[in-house]
Amino acid sequence: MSTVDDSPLLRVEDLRVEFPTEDGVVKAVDGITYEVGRGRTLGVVGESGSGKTVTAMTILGLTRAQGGRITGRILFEGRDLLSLDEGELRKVRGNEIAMIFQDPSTALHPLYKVGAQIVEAVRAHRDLSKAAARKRTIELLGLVGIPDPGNRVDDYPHEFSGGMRQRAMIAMALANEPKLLIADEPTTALDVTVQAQILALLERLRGELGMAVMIVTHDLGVVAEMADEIAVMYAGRIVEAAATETLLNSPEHPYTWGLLRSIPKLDGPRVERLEPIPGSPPSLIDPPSGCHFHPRCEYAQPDHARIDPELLPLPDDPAHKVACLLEPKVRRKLWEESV
Amino acid sequence: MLPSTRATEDTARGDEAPPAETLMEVRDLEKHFPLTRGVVLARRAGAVKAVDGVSFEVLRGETLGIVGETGCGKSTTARLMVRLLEPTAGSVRFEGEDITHLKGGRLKAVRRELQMIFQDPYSSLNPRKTAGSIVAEPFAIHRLHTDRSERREQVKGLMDRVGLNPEHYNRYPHEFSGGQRQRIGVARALALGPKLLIADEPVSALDVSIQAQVLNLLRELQRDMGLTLVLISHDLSVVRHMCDRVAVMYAGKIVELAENEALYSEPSHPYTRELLAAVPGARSDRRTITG
Repeated sequence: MSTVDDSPLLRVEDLRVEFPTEDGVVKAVDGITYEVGRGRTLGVVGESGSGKTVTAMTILGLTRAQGGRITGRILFEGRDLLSLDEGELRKVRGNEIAMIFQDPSTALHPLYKVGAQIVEAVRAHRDLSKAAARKRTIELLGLVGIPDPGNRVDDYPHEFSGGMRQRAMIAMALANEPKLLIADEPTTALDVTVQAQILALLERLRGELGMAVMIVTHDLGVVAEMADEIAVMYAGRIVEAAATETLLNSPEHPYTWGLLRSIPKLDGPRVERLEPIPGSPPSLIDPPSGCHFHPRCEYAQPDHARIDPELLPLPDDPAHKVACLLEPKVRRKLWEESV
Repeated sequence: MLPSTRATEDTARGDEAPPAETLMEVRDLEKHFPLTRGVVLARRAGAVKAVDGVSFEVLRGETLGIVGETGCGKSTTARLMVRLLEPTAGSVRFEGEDITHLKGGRLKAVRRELQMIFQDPYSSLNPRKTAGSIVAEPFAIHRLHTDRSERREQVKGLMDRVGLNPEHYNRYPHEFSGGQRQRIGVARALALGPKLLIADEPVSALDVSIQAQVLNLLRELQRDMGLTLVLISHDLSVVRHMCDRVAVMYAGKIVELAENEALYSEPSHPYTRELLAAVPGARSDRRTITG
């Protein structure tokens, strides 16, 4: 992936996150492994309850407080973030790794000026005077495309539109030039024209600042546009991971097929019926045995209910990994027949 | 700003189809919400023009899409069409009758013909009622099927029709998934055998794999029951999949109304072009979603 330094920026190994609840233990993340290379963009795609947000929050230690039981390793530049105490993690969070959230209207404090909130983020990690931090804040607001940042810095969040709030959140996340930006559904709450602006902004900043981005979303269109690699999650596991073009053009997992088929298209002939995935996503308290997807999979065999599939590289493309019990030849034939 | 609203009359009639009959006609519809200042001595300080002079027709048996972004007035238009809101000006005619100012029994009768499905399947169902009694509520309001067992059979038939297990008659909304809840909302809307069904963002709260199930259901119902459907959505690909004609709204006005194919292949209004270009995954050939 990267040329100079071979080690990935972030490597997550066999991560499991469980939450004990009254009804039983929720296995939100059930043993996942993936990497984000320096300056790369990874898209994590999944439906609600697939574990994609928990994965992202666990990297920053945000699931600790909720009583999550966490095992595995999260190696950031070789250092295991899970072994850090809260004080050490605080030095990483917002500094080397930053996060932006789905809903920009709840992520900003309504009673503090937007600028003051960004100043706080700047001064949390840098020994800057208030005046210098304010200057940096105005610079950041300009960078993310807020017009007239010198005046808008003193606005309250309610004086910003939804798109501008998300820009302010991005400015805050960029305050300390993180090496990794985690964006959890960054455009889901926004209108489509604003969404396009925010995605273009993230793309531009990634190029200018050379940071890696992990974008978590349910929208395949968003990752198709943004990501270098895509990981598809289902019921707490990664079921398929590949380079973006590979995943969209020759997907291997029946769940990925289902996702691609169930989305109406903006071009090409209109179809009479969409092909939905039958059933609904499983409970994470008592997930199906074997392959978690087998109850909804039209190609499932009896033994798929017993055997846990591993996420394995394809023989002819090691960067393309699939967790499916069907023979590779059978899968390829099924996909080619359906296209 | 609005030079290119294509005339509905021109685009409405297909080549081979029999002349389309107008089911609902909306003329110069306006809804202004007053803005007030002051708490004790409130005074008018202007108005939000949520819907600002909208005219269109809904043809019998078609699916008409209304697309636009937040605040463009699409949901307000829907609520005006079914008389959930009173318009500031303009008229709504249904099957030739002016329903804009109907009251009492006559309004109640018209409402049997006009039903609505809402966006959020969590907040649009009463959590303290069972699925069966939610679906049966229109019968209670309109005093239909008063015999208990007959009403129960009717409800079970409706549940079956929308793909719910009729044995789940006594379950509460929280026992259903999001997609199933939306089906309960559909069953309730169908109970009175409406002629026009208005669906306001019916799938935007649902996961993609569930969206397709609900969209397919709406299509089947429309075909099998001869329904006319008005689909309101911000999602251009959903509207393209479902609709015969599409109206694009911006700032309370319809900026373009055209046949589906024409709108997506040659959008004529700059705003429509901007909307289409903004959809992620639709821009470059390489990254277009296939499959």
